[in-house]
This record gives sequence, C-alpha cells and structure tokens, in this order.
Amino acid sequence: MSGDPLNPRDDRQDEDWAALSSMADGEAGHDAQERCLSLWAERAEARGRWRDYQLIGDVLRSGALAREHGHDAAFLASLRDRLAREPVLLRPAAPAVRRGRWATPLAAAAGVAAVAGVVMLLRPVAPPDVALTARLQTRSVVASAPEATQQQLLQPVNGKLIRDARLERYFAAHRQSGTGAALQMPGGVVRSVDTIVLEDR
Amino acid sequence: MNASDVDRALVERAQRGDARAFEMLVVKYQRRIERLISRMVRDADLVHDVAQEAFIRAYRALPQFRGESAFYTWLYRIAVNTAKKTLVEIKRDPVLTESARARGGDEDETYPRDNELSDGETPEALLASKEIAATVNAAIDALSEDLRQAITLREIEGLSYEEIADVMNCPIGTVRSRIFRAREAIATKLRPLLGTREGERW
Repeated sequence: MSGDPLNPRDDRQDEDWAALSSMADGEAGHDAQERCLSLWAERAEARGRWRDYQLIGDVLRSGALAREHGHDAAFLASLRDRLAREPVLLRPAAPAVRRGRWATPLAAAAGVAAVAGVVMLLRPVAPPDVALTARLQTRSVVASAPEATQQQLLQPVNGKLIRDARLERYFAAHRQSGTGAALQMPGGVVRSVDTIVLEDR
Repeated sequence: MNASDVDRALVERAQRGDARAFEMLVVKYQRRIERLISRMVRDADLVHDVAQEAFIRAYRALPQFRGESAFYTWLYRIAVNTAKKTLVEIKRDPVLTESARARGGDEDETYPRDNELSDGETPEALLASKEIAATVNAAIDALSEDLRQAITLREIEGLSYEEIADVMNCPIGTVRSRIFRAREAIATKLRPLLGTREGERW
C-alpha cells in the first residue's frame, strides 16, 4: 500500500491501521501490540476501526451480527463505567514478596479479596473529568513494567495511589482518621486483609 | 493458528491489568455474547444487562483463566451461566416475572420462535443489520481475487498468516498487507451505513 509521498502522516496512519489489522489476527509483534494499545486509549478512530474489522469478520462468518456503531459504542461506554468501579488485580511477572497485614478503607460494593501472589491496585472512583488515556495508562504502566524498579512503578498518578511498603505506613497513619483523604470511598468499610507487599529491588 | 492463539497477547495483557487490552476483547466478542444471551433471555433490556454482567464476571475471573481452553470458549461458558442465573432469578421474583411478562416475554418459553425477531431488535435495527450484512458481502465480491481469498482464509477458515502464505504461495508480509487492504476496502463502504461520523462515538 503506497501512501502519499508528500504527506508522510498518511503513511504513518496506514501503518497504525495495518498494525491494528494484524493485532486483530493475533499476528502483531510486540512493538505493534504496544502501538495498538496506545492508539486504543488515545484515538477514537482506532477504537472504531478495531470494531469495524471485528464486525467484518463477524458478518463474514454469520451475517447476523451486523449493527451500527451506536449500539456497540454504548455497550462499551456502559461497561467501562462498571469496570472503573472494579478493583484491579495484578499478577506480577516475577514476584519477590513478603507478607504483611494492612487495613484500608474498602468500598463494600467492590468486594475486594486479596489473593496470594496478587498485588491490589487501590483506585478511588475516578472523577468524570479524568482523561481516559491517563486512566487506562495508569493501569497499563504498572501492568507492563514488571522489570521496572519500585521507584518507577509505584508513583501516585492522577491522585491514584498504588500499594507499596511506603503506603502501608501511610495507611497506618490514616487508619485513625475518619476521612482517609484520596482513599476514602463512599460507604467504605475498614477491614483487615492479608496481602502481598512488593519489595524494593 | 487456532482461536486461543489469536487472543493470547490480549488476554495475557488483560491478566496483567491492562484495561485497554480487556476492552479490545470486549469489543471483539460483545456482539456474539449478546446474541448468545438473547437466545436464552427474551427481554431486550435484560440482554444488555446480562451481557454486561457476563463481561464483569469474566473480568473478575481473569486471574483464574489458564488458557486451557480458548478465551472465547471460557467467556461463552461464563455468559451462559450468567444468563441461566438471571432466568432463575426471574422465576423466583414475582415482581421481575411480572415485568418480564408485561414486556411480552413468556418466562416459560426461553427460545424465540422462528418468525420472531432475535435480540429483541426493532424492525429498523433488523433492517439495518441486514443492510450492513449485504454491504459487506457486496464489498467482498467486489474485491480482487487475491484480497478476497486472503480475508476469506483468515476470517472464515481461521488460517494463520503463515498457513495462508503457504496456500497462496506468497510471503507473509503480502498476506498481512492483503488482509489489511481487504478490510479497509470493505470498511470504507460500511462507514456511511454505521450511523456515525468516523470515530465519533468512541
């Protein structure tokens, strides 16, 4: 596919959509995957295109799943709101852990459970004006950087605090206060939970 | 390449907490899941809610998914169980049963008759989906032989790029390019039908 030599942006765009196409087939290399995921968060056009490619496949196979964008976009928007209220469970690639007990305010509705080998990502309910990109990248940065140092991994991003040993001390300091700043959730219940704390490497 | 391999990269990233990867899987399978649930749950509003619930449950259960089956197989089972649970709840709760009855669903009859609309679709939505299907099929027919064969082998026969390269006797890069160009050609014809300016609602 030849782009316009006078407009290199078209070539770049073609490459982006070509990466998305190979991602749809499970044939994208690592760099292409990263590019696709960035596009997903940053550009509505990328989301629409992914959906178009998937729809084409669905129609080819069955003819019965064809729908205009509005329905599917509304489905994702609604689900996204619900996902935002779910706790994120991370499975570190190479955990080096020690066990600790900690108490933290938790939303009863979230129903959070700590499982051995899993780090809890605490996330308050996102305010409506938080950029989608920032919100998605917060989770992906932590998830895709298992080799990173704790320093890089565990920074507060957009007011969302991520668990580490330093936060344990933070929680302890705030346990007494009724309003634990950014971590207080509406209707929050204080519980003691067994969990894993990432060590500094 | 089988179905489980196609999703592997996205599933692994989703299991590591990448919300974008999970969303891409949602958009990929949402229509199939809704259709599956609509075969079991008659009420259109309920289909939407049950489908959402199924994806939430899948999201929560992601850490337990070990890749022994294809991701869609696993998701399919979760969706079926979610729909069954909903049907049980409807039968148990007289208020829900009554409102389901009021919406035209007979709770004893879980499968639509042949001449009825599936998915609780309006006639307009059904017409739109038929039009979309017709447009896709016409666009496929209008493709060059190479592009049509490439996308058919991928989407209908489920062959990997490597297998397609073998069948079509061309490099893998050519396969990748042909499938991409086929998709773009079809998508260009589809977009006027899809009801929004490009990317607007996403």
